[in-house]
This record gives sequence, structure tokens and C-alpha cells, in this order.
Amino acid sequence: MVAPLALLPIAISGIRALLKFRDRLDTILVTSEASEKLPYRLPPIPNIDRTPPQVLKDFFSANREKPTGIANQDHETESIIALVVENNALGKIVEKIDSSSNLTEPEFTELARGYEVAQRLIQVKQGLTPPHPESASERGRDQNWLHGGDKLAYYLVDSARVSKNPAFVRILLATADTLMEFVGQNASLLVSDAKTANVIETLLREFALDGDLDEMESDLLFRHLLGAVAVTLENHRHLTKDSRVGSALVGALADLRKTPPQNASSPADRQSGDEFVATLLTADGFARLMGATATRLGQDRHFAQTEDVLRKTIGAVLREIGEVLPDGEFSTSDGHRIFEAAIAVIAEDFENRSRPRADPNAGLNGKTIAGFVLSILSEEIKNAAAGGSLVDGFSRGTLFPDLYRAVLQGIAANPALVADTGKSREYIEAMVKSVATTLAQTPLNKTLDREMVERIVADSLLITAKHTTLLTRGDDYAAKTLEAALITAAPLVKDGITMAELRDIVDTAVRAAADNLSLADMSGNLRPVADAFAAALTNVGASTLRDSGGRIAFARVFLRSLSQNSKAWKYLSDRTETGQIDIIKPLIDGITMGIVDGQRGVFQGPHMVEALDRSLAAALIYSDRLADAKIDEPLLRAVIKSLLTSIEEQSDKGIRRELLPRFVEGALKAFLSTIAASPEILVGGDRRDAFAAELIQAATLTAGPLIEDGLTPDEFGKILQAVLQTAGHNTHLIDMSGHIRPVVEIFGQTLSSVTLRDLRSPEERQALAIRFLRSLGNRQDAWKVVISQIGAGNSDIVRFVFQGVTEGLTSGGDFVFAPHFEAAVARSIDVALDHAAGLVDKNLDQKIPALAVQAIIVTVRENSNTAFRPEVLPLLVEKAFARFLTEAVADPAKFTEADATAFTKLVITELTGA
Amino acid sequence: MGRRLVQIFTLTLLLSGCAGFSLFPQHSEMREIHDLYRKEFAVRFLPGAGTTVENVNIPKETNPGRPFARTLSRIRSFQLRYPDSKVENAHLTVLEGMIYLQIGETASAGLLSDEIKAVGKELSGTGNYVSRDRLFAENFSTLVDVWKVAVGMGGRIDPEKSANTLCKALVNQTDTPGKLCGENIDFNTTKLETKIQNAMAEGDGGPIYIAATGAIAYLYADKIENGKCRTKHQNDPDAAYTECWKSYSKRSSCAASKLMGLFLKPSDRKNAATLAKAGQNSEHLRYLRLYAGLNAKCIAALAP
Repeated sequence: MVAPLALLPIAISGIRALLKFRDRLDTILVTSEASEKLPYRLPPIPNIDRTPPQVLKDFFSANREKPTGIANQDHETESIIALVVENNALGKIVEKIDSSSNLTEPEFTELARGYEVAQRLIQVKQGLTPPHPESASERGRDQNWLHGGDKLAYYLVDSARVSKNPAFVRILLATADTLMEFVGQNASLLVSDAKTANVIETLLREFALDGDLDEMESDLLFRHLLGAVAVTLENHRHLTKDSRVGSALVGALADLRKTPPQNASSPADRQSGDEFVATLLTADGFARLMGATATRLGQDRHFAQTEDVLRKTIGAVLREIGEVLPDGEFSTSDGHRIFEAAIAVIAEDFENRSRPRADPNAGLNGKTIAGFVLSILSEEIKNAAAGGSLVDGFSRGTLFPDLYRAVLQGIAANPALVADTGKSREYIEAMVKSVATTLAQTPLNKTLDREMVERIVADSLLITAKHTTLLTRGDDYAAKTLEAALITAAPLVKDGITMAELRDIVDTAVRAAADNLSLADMSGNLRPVADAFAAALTNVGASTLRDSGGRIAFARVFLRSLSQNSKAWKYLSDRTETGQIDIIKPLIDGITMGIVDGQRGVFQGPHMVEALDRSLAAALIYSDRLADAKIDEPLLRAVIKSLLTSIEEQSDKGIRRELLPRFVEGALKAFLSTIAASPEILVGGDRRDAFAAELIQAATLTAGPLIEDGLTPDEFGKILQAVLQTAGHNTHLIDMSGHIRPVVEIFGQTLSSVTLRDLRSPEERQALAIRFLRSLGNRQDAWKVVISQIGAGNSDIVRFVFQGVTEGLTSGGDFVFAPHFEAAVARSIDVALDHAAGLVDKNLDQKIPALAVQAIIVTVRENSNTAFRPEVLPLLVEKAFARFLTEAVADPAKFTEADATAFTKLVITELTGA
Repeated sequence: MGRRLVQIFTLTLLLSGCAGFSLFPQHSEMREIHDLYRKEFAVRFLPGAGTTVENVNIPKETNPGRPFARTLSRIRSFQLRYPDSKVENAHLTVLEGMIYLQIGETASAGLLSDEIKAVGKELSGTGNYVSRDRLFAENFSTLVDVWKVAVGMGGRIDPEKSANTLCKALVNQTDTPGKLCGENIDFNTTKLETKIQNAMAEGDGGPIYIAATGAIAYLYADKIENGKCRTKHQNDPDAAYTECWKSYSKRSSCAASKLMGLFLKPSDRKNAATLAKAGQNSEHLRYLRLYAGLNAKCIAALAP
């Protein structure tokens, strides 16, 4: 029976009213219940039968031979008859029979009653009747006909019911009934809210009014679907913001029902539309389908501008899923995930188009893109699985929907692929291959369960899919990239890396790969690099880097460095490949361990990561040197460690921690560039690590006081370079190993005492430091003398040299040297060092320095306001100082304070000719 | 106005068939009363049937001495609570009367007769026939008479008259003159039969129940007449057998089977004996069995 469509609004308002007026409904229901079928007995049926008199006589007669009407007459029957006769006082009557006397009608009535009892007992004996039947007075004789079954049903009396009401009324009842069953009192809300009512209306129109609810199955489907819809609308109010979603989905399901999947080979195999729809809607199916659609719809205005387009799209996707589902080993939840993926991608696709296409269902080979991808993908996977190249069971389970989504996304995002069937296929093949390779080779296989690995791979693919270039290169670039990312991430698994973090790592890797196609040149060499990094990360140990975040960041840094320095890495890995040298591991290990070992709390998370980042970048610039094996792991490690340790010592002087990574970078750059230019610096054989560390330390200590002036990392690099170059030019300086530190410490103290007022610019102070360090190299012999004094506990000579000179030059009141201070100091130091040996020999180191300082002060004072050009002043100081010291050493006795001043003045007059 | 009418129309259509929910107190109480009635019915009349009747689990010892005591108590409480629910109360009053009949408390039933007749007007049917309860109510005093006879409290009641009354009541429903009843019942009254068949098809078991009661009343009439006859032939048992037993049996079984046959499909009438033996237990089975037995007797008696 088909109900007229025009009745739909009436149906809705009827249901609405029904739900609104609960009391009224109660009345309706109770009236309905009143007409339920109930059991009613009939009056007991009287016995209007009488056994013919002759039969009765024969039965009770003692002389009977073959009584009629009695089965199995035997001894037992005899006993029963005897018993009945005795109990019913029939003895006299039986005697009359035996003596052939005439019986009266009342006597026959007695006999008939006895006959009935005896018959019954015989039946009991024969098992034909239960032994304790209900008593005849209470029950109708009809009861005797009953054997088993539902005895109550026997007594039921129907009443007129609604069951033969028109289909339309039954639809209303079924709807109201189902709504109340699923959402109770909220049913009225669903029906009264225009948005949800719209969905229910569509459902009624598509599934009930144009169908035939007389068929039980249709009715069940309708109720099933209505229940699912009601629960969804009730529990996910947010989904109903746009009722088009629900309506379109319901409409699409109705279409599916009418046109079942087409792939079935024979009509017999063909799944009925109803079954298919029911399959899709198990449990929370509708909610999932609607959720997926609504989420996307909410994000995109273009998608589904009309309900009709949305309906067609949803329908097409579902139908195509239907074609795959029965064939493959997919569950319904796979189906849902495939649907979610397809809808998501279609919506995104729309979003990304400035103008939406008129028909989203126009696609490839007569299918939608979603369908095309689905069929090719399942085909490809089957092929691949048949070729044995896939991990067993790959085509099943959670991975497929993810892979589908990834592929679909990739294709949708690339119009060229959409347009070209062949290219699409190629792309899909590449994706399948990537999955297979990655699944087979990821080191995560060893530590994670299969499901997790699949999720990781699936997530990775989603990231990869966006980069068509990766996949269409025709080689294994994408797979190799993923592999590298997963190798990198593998050590982090024991830290409990989350999926999001892992995804982040993979994302970094894939982006890096996509942005740097030059990296593809080293696709074959990615693995050793990644392996080395993973090994380094493993060595670092979970405890060192406090949180997994730090380790993840390390991993990302590494991957980024891969892309940013792809050439360098390739250069290194090429060397590795050819077996020349394996520098990759030492490089990574050296830097990583150096940073981690040397940190001792200096670095906090992000700074440490930045330090690694910058160090790697710095190191890779000199990859050729690294490949020459001039720089090995212990050296790198020592350099970085020393640097960090020294910096730590300076850190209480106000070094800004955020600058530390840049200091490390500057230092490493300086170190490596210097070593690159002057490899002879590191000829120190076994001790070169220690020496390098010491040099770094010297530079750091020297620079330390400058740091609070705002020494930049570059400037710091320059100081370090100075140190190294000094060392480079003075390979014998290596002999001073072990003595440099005391010297630089005193120098550092000296420099600290020179106030900012005196040396206004950091550049000046920096220059001074460099000048000092150079002097270390240039005047090594002199310094040796000085150092020996230091070794003897006499550090005044050093103070004399540095402090004396600097104080002398700066404490002269008006500071005239400003631009030429460095030159003055340098010259003064040289002079001092020239005479150092003599002063030490004559044991003048206690007295002379004070005088020398005075002399310098006098020199400066006397000439600061003269007509000398300032730049000449350092020369003057040098000359005067030199003369003073020469004289002092020659005749120390004549130098008193006054003498010193007079002498100095004399010298000055002499020198200047004034 | 039109819209309102539509809504009222819709609501009226929903008079029956919905599964109930506790959301609806009257409905759920009514359902409980029915469940209780079914259980007490089973306990009372179907010993050992607990295994075959769903939800029958009232232990005998907890069943109060008086049959249907709990059902009757719930009926009264419903009627006190919902005095305005006229239709439902009418249904329950009829049910109460029917309970009295079935347990042989014909005096109690008799006291309710007038009331039941009055409330019967509240009850109606939706199809071609008045509903079961309305039919019970309209014929209640006659039913009381038949039951009185059946339990041996008949006094001067003439069950044949009762049977004819019931028959006429059924036939009158069809606007066909009641003179067809008794010995004059004629299956060939097409108009009557069509109408009755329609009622049966609508699923109302009232008419056939009343018809079966009428048929049984014919049997009681037989029994009474038979008894009188036998007194006459007290010393001639053979004559008593032939003149009384066989003769009256023929008369009553034919009248009874004809009355019942009106409410059976022609095909059921034809195959009643087979169906009665092989049939599943159902509300139709007892009528088939009764009819088959009566019909066989009638045919046998009519045979030359």
C-alpha cells in the first residue's frame, strides 16, 4: 500500500501533536491496550454422549470374551475395572449384568460414569493422558484436547485492532513508536525543531511513504534507520546545524537502496539495497556518516551548495564503497573510514577551488574521483599483495582507509593527476609502493605492534600525499624519506613518543624532502645518515634530555639539517658509501654528545636543540674537511664540551642563555674554518684534543669579561679565531699547554678591571683581548719567562705587564688614548715582555712595575694636552716605557719614585724634542 | 480549523497498536492488569502450563485463595484512579464480569449485569463489527444464564432460549432478521455470512466466542431435555438411548455446529476435523475442535 506524498506534512504534524500531548497519547495507548487479546474460557461443555448400553454391559461383564471398544485388554485392564467397580459401588449393577437381569436407565447412567473413569485410567496406564488431569468440574472438556504448545493461546480472544489500519497510520505509529523508543521525551523536540524535523521528514518521504511498509523487512529497515537518525540527532546536536547534511545523507541512502552495488557478478550475489544500507548503519553508523559529512560541511561553504549535489556526492561515495566492501575483507567500520576520508577530501577539494565545479561527480572513467581512486587502489593492493611485496595482511584493517584518504587527497590536490588517468594510476602505484617499503623496512616494526605501525605509516602517507613531486619522481624517494623519518624516530619510541610527535617528525622529514628535491640525489644514502642519527639519539639516553619533547626536537633538527644541507650530507654519505671514511656518525655523535655532555644544566630544552641545530649547520659547511678526517669525533666533542664548560664558568657574569647556542655556533664555525685554513694547528698528535680544548678555553676566558658588554657570538668567534690563528702560527705554543690558562685568567681579571668608562666600546675591549692573545703567540719566549714566574707563585710580573700597562694607560685622568688604546697597550706589553727576563733576573718585579706605571702615567699626562696627534701617543709611550725599563734593569738602585718621574720626563723631552 | 481537524483525525487513527512505555501511566497500568490476568488465568486453569505460558511464574502458594484476586484488586484501583477513563473502565468492568463467569461465581456476575450493559455503550469497534468487549457487554446477562446452567445453578433458565438469544444478537449485527437462529440457521444467507466474515477478518474474536457459547448452550438444552426424556424411559434403557440420547444429541449438535459454522471460513468448516487434529494451539483451534466434534455428531445423527 503506497501512501500519498501529500500526507507527509499531516504525518509530521500528527506525530508532533502526538508527542506534544503525552496524556492524550497515554489515552490512545491505553485504549489500544484495552483491545489486546485476552484469554477467556468457554462454559464447560456438557457430556451429551452416552456409550450404547450393550458396550457398557460388555465392558463390565465378568463373562465377556472380547469386549469391543477397549484396546489392549489385559490383566491391568482387569484390575482397573475391578477398582472402578469397587470404588463406585458398581458391584450390584455388575452382578445384574452377569445374571442377565434388566438394568434401569439410572443404573446405566451409573455404569456410564464408571466406564468413563475406567477409560481414563486405562489411557493413563498407556501413557496417553497425564495422571492428574484437571478436574472436570473446573475445566471444560475441551482441555482434554490440549497437548503441549502454548496452552494460553488456546483461550485467547481477539479484539478489533489497529493492525488493519491504513499504511499511513502505521507509518505514523511506527515513527512515533521508534522515536520514543530511542529518544524518549526528547522525541517531541526532534519533531518540533525545524532542522531535525527536516531530516525526519526526508526519511519518511524516502523510506516510508514511497515504500511498502506491509513488507516486514522494509518496516524493519525504516525503524532501524529512523532509530539511528533519531539517536544521532539527539546526541549530536551540533551536527544538525545544517539540516541539509542529514537530509542529503538519508536521501543518498534511499538512492542506494533502490540501486544496489553494481559489481556483483551474478544477480544472485547482488546484495539487496536494503541489506547494504542496513550494513552501513550498524551501531553508530549513521552518526559516523553524518558526523563526517557535517564536519566537512561546517568547514566549507562551497561544498554542497545545494542539498542535491551533496546527496549525489554522498550517494556516489557510498555506492563505490559498496563495490569494494563486499569484495574485500573490509569491515563496516572500514567502510565508514573510507567514507570519512572521501567526504573529507571532496570537501577540501571544493574548498580549495575558487569556483566549485558544477558537478562534483564528474570524474574519471565515468566514476567520481573518490570512486576511481578506490577501485584503482584496491586493485593495486591486490596486485602488490599477489606479488608478495607486501607485508602479510596489509590490504586488510585500518591501513586501507588511511591509504585511501592519503591517495585521494594527493590526487584531488593535483589537477594534473585528476585530468590524466595514467598519471593518477602511476601516483597510486607509487603510494602503494611507499607503503609497502615503509611497512617492511621501518625499524618501528621491532618495537611497536602492527596496528601502531600501520597508523604511523598511514599518518606518514597523509603527509607524503600532499607532495606529489615526491611521489611522481619515479624512484623510491618518498619511501626513502619516510624511512629516514621513521628511523630517526625509532629511538624515541621508548620515551613514549606520541602519535602527534611522531607525525611531527615525519612531517618535518617529508616537507624537507619535498622542499629540497636535491635531497633526492642522496635518497639511497639517507638511511646511513638517519641510522647514525638514530644511534646518536639512542646514546644520548632518555635521562639526559629530560623530556621526550627535547629528543623529538633533536630529531627534527636533524631532519631539517638534512634538507638544509643536503649537499653536505650527500658529500659525507658518498664518502661513507665508497667506504673511504665514515664521518657521519662521528660528526653527529661528536656534536650531539658534546652538547649533551657539556651542558650540565647550562642549556634548557630549546636552547640545547638550537645549539645542536646551529652546530650541525656550522659543521656541515666544512664537510669536506670532515671527510678528510682532519676532524674526528673526539675532537668535535672536546671542542664543544670545552666551550660549553668555559662558558658555564662565565655564565654568572650575566651571559644570556638564549645566546648560548649562537656562541656555540660561532665558536664551532671559527674553530672549523681556522682548522680548515690551517690544518697544522692540530698537528699535536695525541694531545690535540686537549690542546684544542685549551685553546677554546683560553678564548672563552678571554672573552668572558666582554660577554657582559654584549659580546656578540660573531665577535666571540673572532676572539677564538685569534686564539687559534695564534696557535696556528706558533705551533710551538703547544708546548705551553697547561700554562695558558693561568695567563688568560690574569688577563681576564685585568680586562675586567678596565671599566667600561675607560674602554668605551666593546670593540676596543675585544681588540685588546685579541692583541693580548696574539702576544701569547708572538712573544712566546717572554711569556715562558712570565709563566715560569707564575709557576713559582710570583704572579706580580704578569700583573705588572697587564695591569700596570692598562692601569697606567687608563688612569691618567683624561683619557686621551681612546682610539689608540689598543696600540698603546700592545706596544707597552711588547716592551714589558722585552724586559721581562731582565726584570725577573734582577728580582725587580716587585718594585719596577709600580714605577713603570707611574712613568706611563707621567708620560700620558705630560703629553695629553700637547700638540701631538693622538695617534703618535702610543709610540711615545712605547719608547718612553722601553727606555725606562732598560735603564731600570741596568741600574735599579737609582730609581726612586721621584727619579722615575724625572727620568720619564727627561725621556719624553728627549723623544719629542720639546 | 482544518488543520486542527487533521490533527484530531490523526490522533483518532492512533487508537490502537502502539507498544507502550512507562512514560504513559494509564497504559502501563492497563498492561500490568492484563499481564496479571493472563498469569492468574494460567495458574487457575492451566496447571503445569507455567513452562508454556510466557511469564507465568506465580507460585501457587502465593496466589490468594480467591481466584483472580490480584487482577480484580488492580482493576478496582485503576477504576478509582482514573474515573474519567470511561472506555478503559468499561473494558475492565466487562473483564471483571467475565472473570466471575469463568470461575463459576455466577451470582457475582449477575449482580454486575446491569452495570455491564450500561458501560457497554462506551465500547465500540473500529471495523464492521462491534468490538469483543461491546459484544460481551451487550450479551452479558445471557452469558450469565448460560454459565449458570453450566455450573448447575441454572434453575429455570432455558439454555436453548439463551442460545437463540446469542445467535440473534450475532445475526442482528448483520441487519438480517433473527429468525434464522435455532433450527432455522441457514449457512446460505450470503449477506449474513459476508458480513460475519468481514468481522472475522478484522481480527475480532468476539463473535465466534459468543457463537461458541451459544453452541454450548444448545448442548445444555439438549442435556436438560435429554434428562426429562430419560425419566420417561427410566426402565427402558435401550429406548432411553435411542429416543433421548441419540435424538437430542442430534438436534443440539446440529444447531450448535450450524451456529458456530457461521463464524468459520468455508474452507475451515470443510476441513475442520483435519485442522482440529493437526492444528497448532491457537485461539482458533478450540473453535475448530468444537465445531468438528459437533459437526461429526450432527452428520452421524442425520445419517439414515
